[in-house]
Amino acid sequence: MRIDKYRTFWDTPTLQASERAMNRAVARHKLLAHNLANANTPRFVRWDLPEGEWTPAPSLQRARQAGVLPLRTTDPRHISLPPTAQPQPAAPTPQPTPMRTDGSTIDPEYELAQLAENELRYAMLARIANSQIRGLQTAIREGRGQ
Amino acid sequence: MEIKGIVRELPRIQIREIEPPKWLQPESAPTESAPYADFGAMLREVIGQVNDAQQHAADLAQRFARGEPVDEQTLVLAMERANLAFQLTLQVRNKVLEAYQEIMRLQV
Amino acid sequence: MGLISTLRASASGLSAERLRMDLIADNLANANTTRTPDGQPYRRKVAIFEPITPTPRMPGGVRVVQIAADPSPPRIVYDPSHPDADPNGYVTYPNVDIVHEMVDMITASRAYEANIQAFNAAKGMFLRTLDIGRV
Repeated sequence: MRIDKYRTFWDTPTLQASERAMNRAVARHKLLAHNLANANTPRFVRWDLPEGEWTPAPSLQRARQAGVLPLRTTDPRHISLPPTAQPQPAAPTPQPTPMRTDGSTIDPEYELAQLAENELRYAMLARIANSQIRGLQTAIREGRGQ
Repeated sequence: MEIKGIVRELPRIQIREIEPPKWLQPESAPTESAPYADFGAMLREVIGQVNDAQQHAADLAQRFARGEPVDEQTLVLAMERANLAFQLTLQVRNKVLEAYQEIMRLQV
Repeated sequence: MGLISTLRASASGLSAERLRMDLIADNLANANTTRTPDGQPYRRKVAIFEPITPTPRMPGGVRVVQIAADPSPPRIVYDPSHPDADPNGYVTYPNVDIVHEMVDMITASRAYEANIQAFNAAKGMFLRTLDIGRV
């Protein structure tokens, strides 16, 4: 048995990882934009993705933890998670922060800093994805012309 | 958010599964698979994957054109992967053709 | 839709803050209006903001549900010579505090700029996505 790190012949673990990270960056941007639009909404609690890895590596270990593969049990009384459970993506959670006098928890400077970091990270990931794809293109054409 | 308020409400909070929002796509699970039985099986599977890649990209592109919510980076990467798959098919076809022509040239 | 739809969310923030600034301008202009066309002194206007629930097509944003009159009590000033003085000589001035309005204007302006940043960030990310795979 082997684990497919490559889903197909035209894929690489780096490309998969960068795609997942890009998805996460876009999801994060949506939340940050929502936060900033509500910068002056009273009693608004900011949203963000929970702290976590930007791109967890596919591995048997992690798959077991996520419940995708059935857990190994040594005793029939042990609980085994159903093998059909999907690995949970990071769900946005409200993040309580110190309140302002008008009840809003948004600090626009903090949101802007996160926004900038997110955008730069996304730019880097796009470049990584691009170089992976061009590398695959070159490999397929064996370095010869178009 | 007042801590006292939350603590007061704790007994009434019901635990329910948090469903991920629909616009966050779940990651695909890593798969375990057996080695290929023979070259023919591998070829068939690869052709199937090429077709899947093309279909997936076309499907996403059409949904985007219709105005449905499609993540742009997902669409672009799917299109690029479909393109790579297509180029691979083209190269394989060229190689097979070259091999055939070479065999035909053999003096028997 | 992803990034493209966040442009709409950021735009909703821009509209809301813009409306707020309009109301502040109105409040400041009428800070001393003791008699409006309906006979009453001017009442401070406040915009009630409410977050938009995120959906795939509209990933959040803000909405103005109401432009309400500030219920706080008006300023009463003793000035019998004023044409709008009541029988006891008191004039009812609007409940507009100039300093408060200026602070509100600054926060509204800051939020407006911040939403522009969010808008540009989304646009930037989208344009970079288009370049993936291009030679």
